[in-house]
Amino acid sequence: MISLRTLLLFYRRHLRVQPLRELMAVVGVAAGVALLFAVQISNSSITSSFEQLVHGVAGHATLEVASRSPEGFDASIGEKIAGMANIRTAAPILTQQITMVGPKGSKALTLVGADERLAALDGKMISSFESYAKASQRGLLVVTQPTAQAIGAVRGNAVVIQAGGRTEHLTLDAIVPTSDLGTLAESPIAATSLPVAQTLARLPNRITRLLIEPAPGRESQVRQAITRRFGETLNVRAVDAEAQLLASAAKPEAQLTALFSAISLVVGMILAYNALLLASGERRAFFAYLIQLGTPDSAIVASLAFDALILGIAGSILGLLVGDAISLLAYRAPPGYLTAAFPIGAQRIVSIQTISIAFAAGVLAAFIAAALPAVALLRGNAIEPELTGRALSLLRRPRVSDSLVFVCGATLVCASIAASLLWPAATVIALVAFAGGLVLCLPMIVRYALKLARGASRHSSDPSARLASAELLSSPTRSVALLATGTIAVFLMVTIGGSVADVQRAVRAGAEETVSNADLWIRPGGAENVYGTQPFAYAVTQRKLQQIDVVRSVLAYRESFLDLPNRRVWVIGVPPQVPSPIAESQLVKGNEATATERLREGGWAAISQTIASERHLRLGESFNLPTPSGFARFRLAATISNYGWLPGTILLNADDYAKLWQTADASQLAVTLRSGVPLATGKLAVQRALPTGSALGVQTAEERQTQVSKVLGSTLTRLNQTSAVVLVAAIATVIAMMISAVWQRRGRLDALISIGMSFGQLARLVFYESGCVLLGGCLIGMAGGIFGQYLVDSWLHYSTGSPIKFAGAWSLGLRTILTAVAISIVASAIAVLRTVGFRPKAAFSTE
Amino acid sequence: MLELERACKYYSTPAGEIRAVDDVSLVIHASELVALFGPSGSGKTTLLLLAAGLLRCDSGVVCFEGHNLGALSKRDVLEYRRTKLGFVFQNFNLVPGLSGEENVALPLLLRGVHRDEAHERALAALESVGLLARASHSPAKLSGGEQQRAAIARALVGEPKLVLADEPTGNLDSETGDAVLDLLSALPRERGAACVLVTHDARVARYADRVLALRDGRLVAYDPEIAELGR
Repeated sequence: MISLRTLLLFYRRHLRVQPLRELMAVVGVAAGVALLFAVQISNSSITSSFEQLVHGVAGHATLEVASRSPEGFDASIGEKIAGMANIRTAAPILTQQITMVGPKGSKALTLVGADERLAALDGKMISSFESYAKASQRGLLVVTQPTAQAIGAVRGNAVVIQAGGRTEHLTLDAIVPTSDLGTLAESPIAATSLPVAQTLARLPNRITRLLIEPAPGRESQVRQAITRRFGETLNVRAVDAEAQLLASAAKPEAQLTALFSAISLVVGMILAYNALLLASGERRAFFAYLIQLGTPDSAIVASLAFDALILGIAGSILGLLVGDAISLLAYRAPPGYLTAAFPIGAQRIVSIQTISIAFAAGVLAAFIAAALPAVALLRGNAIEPELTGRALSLLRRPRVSDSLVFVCGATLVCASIAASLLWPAATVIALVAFAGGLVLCLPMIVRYALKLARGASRHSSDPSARLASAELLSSPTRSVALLATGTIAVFLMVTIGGSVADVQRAVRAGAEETVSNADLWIRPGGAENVYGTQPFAYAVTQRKLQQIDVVRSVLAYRESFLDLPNRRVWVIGVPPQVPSPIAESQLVKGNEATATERLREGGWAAISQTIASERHLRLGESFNLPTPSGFARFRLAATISNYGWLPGTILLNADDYAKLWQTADASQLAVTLRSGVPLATGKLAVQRALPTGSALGVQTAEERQTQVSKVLGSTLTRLNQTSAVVLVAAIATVIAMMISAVWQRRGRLDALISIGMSFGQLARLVFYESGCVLLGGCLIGMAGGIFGQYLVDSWLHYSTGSPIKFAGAWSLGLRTILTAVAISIVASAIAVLRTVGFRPKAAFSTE
Repeated sequence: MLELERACKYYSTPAGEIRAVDDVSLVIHASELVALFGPSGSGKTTLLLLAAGLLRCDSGVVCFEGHNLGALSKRDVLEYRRTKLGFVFQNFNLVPGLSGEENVALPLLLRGVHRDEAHERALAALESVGLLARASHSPAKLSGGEQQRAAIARALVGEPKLVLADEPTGNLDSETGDAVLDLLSALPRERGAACVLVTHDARVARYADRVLALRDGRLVAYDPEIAELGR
């Protein structure tokens, strides 16, 4: 049994002899772990922080009765429910989207209005708020420290509250320090008393939620009882149901980022593998020496495992630190489209589970990266045959041929293509299989490509080409590693970059068409209210606007989010006077003219294709929709995509909306100017006509479109950041590989210089060897990446219903390849300069 | 033909300046086989590099056929190595993926000789070292002795005037080493080329027209016992 001391001795020797190799291997593993960790933090933070918030507010409550509209339901219903049997506590709250403005800026917040019954539920956040509110003697408005800092608010001073299109002033009574709330402090929440919230919202005696703590063991009975009495008009559900809706909304992005972070880990592994290949000759000699000394098999295996363990631990620790920094700097802000519908803050939740997964993945990647070259090295011909035979009997199994690996790879590629075409739900798995298959095909492709190149070079007068093809053919492992690095880096760049561009194009197209129905748009809230779901009383405003001569019409859109059992959908009530209620790019099934006519008629709705498919609905068929006034029956006029809200959208007549949602409010006003009126003039006139104290914003269609594109365009941007990190890591590896490839063969290259090779011939040799291989890898990566982009587009279209049109990212691919080739030329030059910069004595061995 | 006059080459190291070649004056004549002995670190390799124009003297001059190598342009030095010199290395330094014939043809291809002519001459060179039958074999399929013979063919293919051989028998057993030394010792006689053999191998002295020894960068009198010890 080899002692730990000996293992450490061996490792110290490796470290001393090849510090660069060890460093690069560690960096490779770290790059993969960093991305995986950062993405995991980012993904889990969104749902975990929201769950924390839910429990921070709801405390012991396990059930909630929630309104289906922002206007809430009558508080008397809450009282009735509170009086039902088996309910220990029932706490009414009124939540409202507000913008709080302070001396330094503004922030979109969810204002929670509650009374002492909520505090009785003992939620951490509310308890803290309550204790600080009590201390302030007045206890009207409480915010967290990060919120106060962001807007520059000071305790005791007034802040501006924009709510329901109006501006109010309230005194900030208390600021809860971060030390009391921990990560909850980042939640965009403010609290006030229930009556103040009702006054601010102009919703007297209304509440939006009732949080319920049932008697122990009675939750199911309580739920059934409430559902029986009030389930027609209200949602009765588990208190954390909203967190599940959030998880559902974030699922496409979370799945894709997780998928690509896993691929990134594989890239990290390849980078580490490449690094470990760098000094294979030296290691081989060391193993041969150990074998000659009679070192047993187990000791060599233990030594290799120990090296991998150290590499894995070092790489994982470094990766965790870098990943933490990436999640802080790049992935901190949650996607804009989610913050518009859920009160998500920028808190980061780093759990032990997240750390463990990333750490274990790093160690595993290190083991695989270290095992592959080690096996190749111990089976290699460079060790004397009798020594190899004795060294590790466990490695004497038949070698897996390149042909078999190629067949497996090709089968995976074909199966993934077939699966994605026949079974769109399996596209994510197909993409992984496709990437894996592509890499498995590489050794065979490389072998035959090199044979072809070798044959062609025999007819070339350029000795560098002949030398390069011969050198590559004699060390195919390095060529495969370099090719694979180029392939995967470009594959990821093109797949991710292309898909993100397609998604963003679809979102922009939708936004453009949606807002093109009017010249000016009026709505409350800032950029966060991207879906225009904050209601406001508009009658006075509409009347005033219609009186100014530049305005031809003012139409009221009514929009809000509606919770279905498994998704939060965006309901858009389109005024019947709008010429094209369904944006052309958003129409999936149905005739636009017929659907328009039916929507105007009332009783018809257009719904997202994903929802229609889920309910097996065909055009003309009827379906029930849970509305604030009860289940309403609609007929399907058309199926549409999602207008940029991934979980799905429902389009109906604004009059139907007003009737079913029992509201007279609007959420957006679409203003059409008289012909010939310049936009700027019209906008100014409309702004002047708004009532005093109005918190409504006026935007031109173009401004609105830009804002929507900006917020919704942030969808999937984390993927771009992921691919950029992978590309940087891959570039670093390629440069290191090219320099090390030259450095390892400096003896032979010096010999070539001695026998008359010129600087130019040497530079060409290095470029042919590395640049051409890299170019080949990049081209394969681009072809694979375009197909990967097609798969991701299809999957996003399938899972979200977004009208994503595939447009092959050839230009991005070519740009990436040009960058890679340019870098390889620079790296070749560096490598050659390093080689010729040394004393040319490596070829000579007498000293 | 090759003349070193008070040639000096120094290296700066953290430990101080090392005089690798220190005030060496030496003349190598055409058709002469010179064996150069010396312990490790005595400056033998540096002397070879100076002779090859791969290093320049810090002081003194190295002349080949009257031309001061230190005064030549890089292009002229490259041309000098391509046309006047042949190299034989201890580790052979054959390119693994090329056949024996292609390895031998390489120096000609590097200096722009047409590939047909280069291969014709390579085959002739291989024939001269008795390796024609192995011309299509890659270095991995050749024995150590065959590899060194192929390397000698590579050194000779350009018809050099001076062959610089660095421990040509260092990786060979004594029988194969003798065969290689036979080949090298025939060069001056059969081709009129001079040959400098840097070695630890005392047997080389038997083949040499002249035996030199280096110690601490300086030429000293050759002592066969010290040569053996150095090995």
